[in-house]
Amino acid sequence: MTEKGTVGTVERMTRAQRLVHLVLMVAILMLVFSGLALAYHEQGWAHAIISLMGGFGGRNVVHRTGAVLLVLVFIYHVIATNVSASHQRNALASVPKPADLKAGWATFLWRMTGRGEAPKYGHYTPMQKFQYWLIFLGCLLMGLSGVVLWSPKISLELFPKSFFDLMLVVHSSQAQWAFIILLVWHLWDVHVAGGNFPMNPAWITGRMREDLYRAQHEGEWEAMQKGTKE
Amino acid sequence: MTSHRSALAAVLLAGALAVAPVAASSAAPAKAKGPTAADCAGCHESADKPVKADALKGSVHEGLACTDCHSDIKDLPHADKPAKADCSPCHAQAVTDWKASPHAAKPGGATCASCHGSHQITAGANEGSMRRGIRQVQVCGACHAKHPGPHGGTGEAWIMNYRNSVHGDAVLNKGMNVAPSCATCHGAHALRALGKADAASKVKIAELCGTCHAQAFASFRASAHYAALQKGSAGAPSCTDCHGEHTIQGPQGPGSPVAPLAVPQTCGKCHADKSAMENFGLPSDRVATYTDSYHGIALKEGDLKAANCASCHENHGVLPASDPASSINPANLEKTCGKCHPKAGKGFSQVKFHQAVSPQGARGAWFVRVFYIGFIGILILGFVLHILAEMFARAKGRKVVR
Repeated sequence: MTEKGTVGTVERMTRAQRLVHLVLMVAILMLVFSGLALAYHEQGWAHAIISLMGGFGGRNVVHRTGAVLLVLVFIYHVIATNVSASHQRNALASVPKPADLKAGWATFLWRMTGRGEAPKYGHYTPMQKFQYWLIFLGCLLMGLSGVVLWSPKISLELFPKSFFDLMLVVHSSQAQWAFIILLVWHLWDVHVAGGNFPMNPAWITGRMREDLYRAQHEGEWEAMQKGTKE
Repeated sequence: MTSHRSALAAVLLAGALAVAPVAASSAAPAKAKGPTAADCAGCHESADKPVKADALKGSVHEGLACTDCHSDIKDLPHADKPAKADCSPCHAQAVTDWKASPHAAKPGGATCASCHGSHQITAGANEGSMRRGIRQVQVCGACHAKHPGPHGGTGEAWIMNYRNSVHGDAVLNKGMNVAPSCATCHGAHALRALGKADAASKVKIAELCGTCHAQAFASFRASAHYAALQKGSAGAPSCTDCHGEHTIQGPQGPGSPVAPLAVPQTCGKCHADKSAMENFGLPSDRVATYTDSYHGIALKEGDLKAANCASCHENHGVLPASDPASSINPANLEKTCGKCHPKAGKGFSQVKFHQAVSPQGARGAWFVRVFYIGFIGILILGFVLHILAEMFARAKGRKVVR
């Protein structure tokens, strides 16, 4: 399968990864819209979203359905990265290293000054790793605080109300952190940055244009040409 | 009966003509001594506003003679402008009360006849009687629609408000004569001042409403609001401060200030007013912390079962948490929260509510929020730099990777 006739494509996401990405995306969208409507309830658009979801009760259903989906995806992800060989390889590639910090800085310097050399990225770019781990941490915190908030009856039996209030603040603040990373930064990267405009199609087709793959993951590309994986 | 009375009157008249005038006027209506109804009709049937000999027929006063009420007329022809009919011999208390009222104080103010009519006054149960609420609304309304209302404008809006209120609906549309109409609250002959300027007047309002709403009044009497009124605090609310007056509606009525959706705003009139609350040493952030809470948002978004102020604090019987009888006393919280959260455990009794996320309120949560604001700020800054750096590099023609 090729785009623009002559350019070949490279596999970026497996079928299973695309499916998980889709479920994750749906879950996050459900959570973000229904959640931000609560956090910004005094705004007109928040009211519109809640009405669209069938009122306050409907909003709850949407948010909690999204939460269950996200938890399932998260659990699947953690198990898969520990049992599947290909996942394990990806997980190892996503481990942040001091080199990533250097590469990120070098990229910034190169873009601003033109000095030095553009760093070559592996399977995951430093920015992708940064975002992945922030979201991983975010999911953990969202999940834990969300469970506490799910049933005040139970959580107020177990914890003081001050802890409940704290979890409320963590949940809404953490949501905005996730919003910045996912719906702003991630969407910018996959739709606009690095020659991806109008879209990096990997999340649908599983494949990326060769030239873009090479430009964005040059280190991995060169390793692939030599017949070795990074 | 009528003919019998007329005959008696004729005999007495004959006697009166023969004998010197008798000292008259006791509490009972004087027996007619002067002209008969027929004598009066001789002239009045052809007058501009004709009055027939049987003008009182069918009225509650049927059987009385013209001169029983027009008692200054002793002889014919009478003075050009005889005095108005005098109701006092029979209705002494009503007339005394009226004389002390604002109606009597101003020239052109309402007299007996303005409200009750003249010759065709009907008995209490009849349609035209002023004992009927519907009649009061018509009769009082006829004048007061033209007069200035208590807060400017004409009284018309006030009467319309009443007509659309739960009280007006009961009286006018449902035929419930026990429901309050004008005189129930404002008094009849002796008009009642219903001021709200001082605590004593507000207590009177509560007592007045309590004559019908006994149970609500009993709760209110045990409340912190009533206690404050008893101490002379005019800033404390009476019934009408929350329920309105002429506009009064039930909790489900249109525009009701005690409808679930409106309760936070109604309580907020005072409890969100900083200067008003300072007078009582009370916090003024209770409404703000509520509207920002899960309960508050749920209510605003139309979940009418969501707790509003009154759900936890009670409505009429509101008491401070320190009072053992209060619904929000720690010992009672389990039961109060349990109204909606049936298995609410002891966890609820330890809870501090209305905690603002601030250095004075929930300090830990406030600290976490500040941290997050800082961190999210850094994220946004990083994102902006990320975009700018790429755009800059593109502009300089450098190879751009992610």
